[in-house]
Amino acid sequence: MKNSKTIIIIAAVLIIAVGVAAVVLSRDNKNLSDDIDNANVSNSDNVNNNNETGGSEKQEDTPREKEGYFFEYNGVQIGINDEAAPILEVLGEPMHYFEAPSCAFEGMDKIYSYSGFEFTTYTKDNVDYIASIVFLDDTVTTREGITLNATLEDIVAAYGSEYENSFNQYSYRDGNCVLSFIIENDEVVSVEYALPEDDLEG
Amino acid sequence: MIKWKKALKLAVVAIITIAILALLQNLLMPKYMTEILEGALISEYYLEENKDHDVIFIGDCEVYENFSPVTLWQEYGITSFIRGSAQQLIWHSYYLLEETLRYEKPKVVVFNVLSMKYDKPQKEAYNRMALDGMPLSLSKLKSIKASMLEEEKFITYLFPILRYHSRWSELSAEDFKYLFKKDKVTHNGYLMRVDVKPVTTIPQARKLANYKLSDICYEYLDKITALCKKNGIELVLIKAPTIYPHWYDEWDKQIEEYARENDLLYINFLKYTDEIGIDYQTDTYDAGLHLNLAGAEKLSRYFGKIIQEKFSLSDRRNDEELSRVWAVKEALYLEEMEKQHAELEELGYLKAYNSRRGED
Repeated sequence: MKNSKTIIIIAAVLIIAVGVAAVVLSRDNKNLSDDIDNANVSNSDNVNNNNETGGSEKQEDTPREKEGYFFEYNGVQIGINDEAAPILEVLGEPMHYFEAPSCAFEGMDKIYSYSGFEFTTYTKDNVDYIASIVFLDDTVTTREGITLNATLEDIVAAYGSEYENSFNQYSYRDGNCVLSFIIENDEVVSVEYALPEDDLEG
Repeated sequence: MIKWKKALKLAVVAIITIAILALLQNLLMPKYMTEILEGALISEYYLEENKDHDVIFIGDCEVYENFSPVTLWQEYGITSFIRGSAQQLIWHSYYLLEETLRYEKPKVVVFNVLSMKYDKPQKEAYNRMALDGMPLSLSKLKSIKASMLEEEKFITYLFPILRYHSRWSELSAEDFKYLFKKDKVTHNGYLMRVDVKPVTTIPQARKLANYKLSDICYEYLDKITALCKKNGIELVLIKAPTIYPHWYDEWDKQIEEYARENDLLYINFLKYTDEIGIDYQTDTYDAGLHLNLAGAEKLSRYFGKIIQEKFSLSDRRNDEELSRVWAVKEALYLEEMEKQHAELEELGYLKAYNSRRGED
């Protein structure tokens, strides 16, 4: 009788130990099904909390004071993590639209191309948000006046010398946006607003 | 005698406890049978009775969506299996190959080089799809170690119940139906799609700050090359003819150079789409990211001819035993093709890949 009790206790302890381990580990691990639901881009888990810029307001209603770097096109302010729908409504039909479903998962990266620039979106809880903005030619400029073909001196004059440099890329971070410039042969060949990499790895 | 009885009782209780935990683990792990089928790919290899393949493919979706082993058999009598998984990174591929060689020694290994662009693990869900389906082995342990993201725990790969326990509230009929036995979702690793979505636009390639493929990727490519050489296997590097994500010329040159230095065959199929006969209006199901069945069959016909001639792979269609095995595979292939066409006709889309449409 005593033996049976011991055995039952051992079995119970084993099962409880597995349960406790599962609970402890789950504190550190985000839900995998969230990954699957949001896997159109890998940044979705972290960006939701950053979405404080009130992207759902209509652009034409109340011009807002945005913080950090953002792009402005024909009076439309486009920032990282802004909700895409109101921006698309104001910008109108894109010249090109491309969607790339993620391997194995629901959801997709969407690329909207307009004259001079394009932006991509990610989806969180069935709402699309701006993930990146890229200049396609020199007809568009940053709000601080930098365009394709500018020089590093122009960039430093506009944004200062507190940049991060990796190879020929110069990046400035402000809040939840990284503004990056790639320079080839002393000329800017790429301007991109994007989520910080640590958000992307979320 | 009493001691023996006590030990026996302990053993029985231990076995029952472990069995209950194993059952719970099986129940809680995703089954990937009715949606996200890609999660079921890796484990299907172990169900193969006849692990005697001329060609083994390793890599990401660019292998399991773009090559049809049944076509390679029908056209050339080449036996093959695709050990692909969603966003399979090069360290996954290497350890998967290492493990595969414990079961068989193919004549040719084909590796798709797109994953050379990733120098670090990307996402846990993809790790799970590459690793959870592998039985426990040294290769699996090494692969887990190489693949884990910082926030992941090694032990959760050994005992997945520690990771999936929270699925209890999401359990569905699928979890019970496939608790003990899963259906096959692929045809020797090929995940069939017959639907069509033409290419209408190709996004402009973004400039990169650095085009050099990373050292860690070269390290694993060296390992794959060395493993193949050691086992007398011909390694073929390929880049599938899919138009997105962009495959940069700078990357292509580096792979060309690597292939030249290591005396390997490298084929960038993007350069031969006309020869292959790929029509991006009809041969892709997602606007150029992956080929559909029509495209995969064209590519397989083109590639099969090359490897058969270059590596003198014999036509094994005269082997009666093999022919019987492949006749069954061909029948299943045809059956699924017809089923998908019927589904498309009825619904306008394939359920397994659009399961959430109904919820919207």
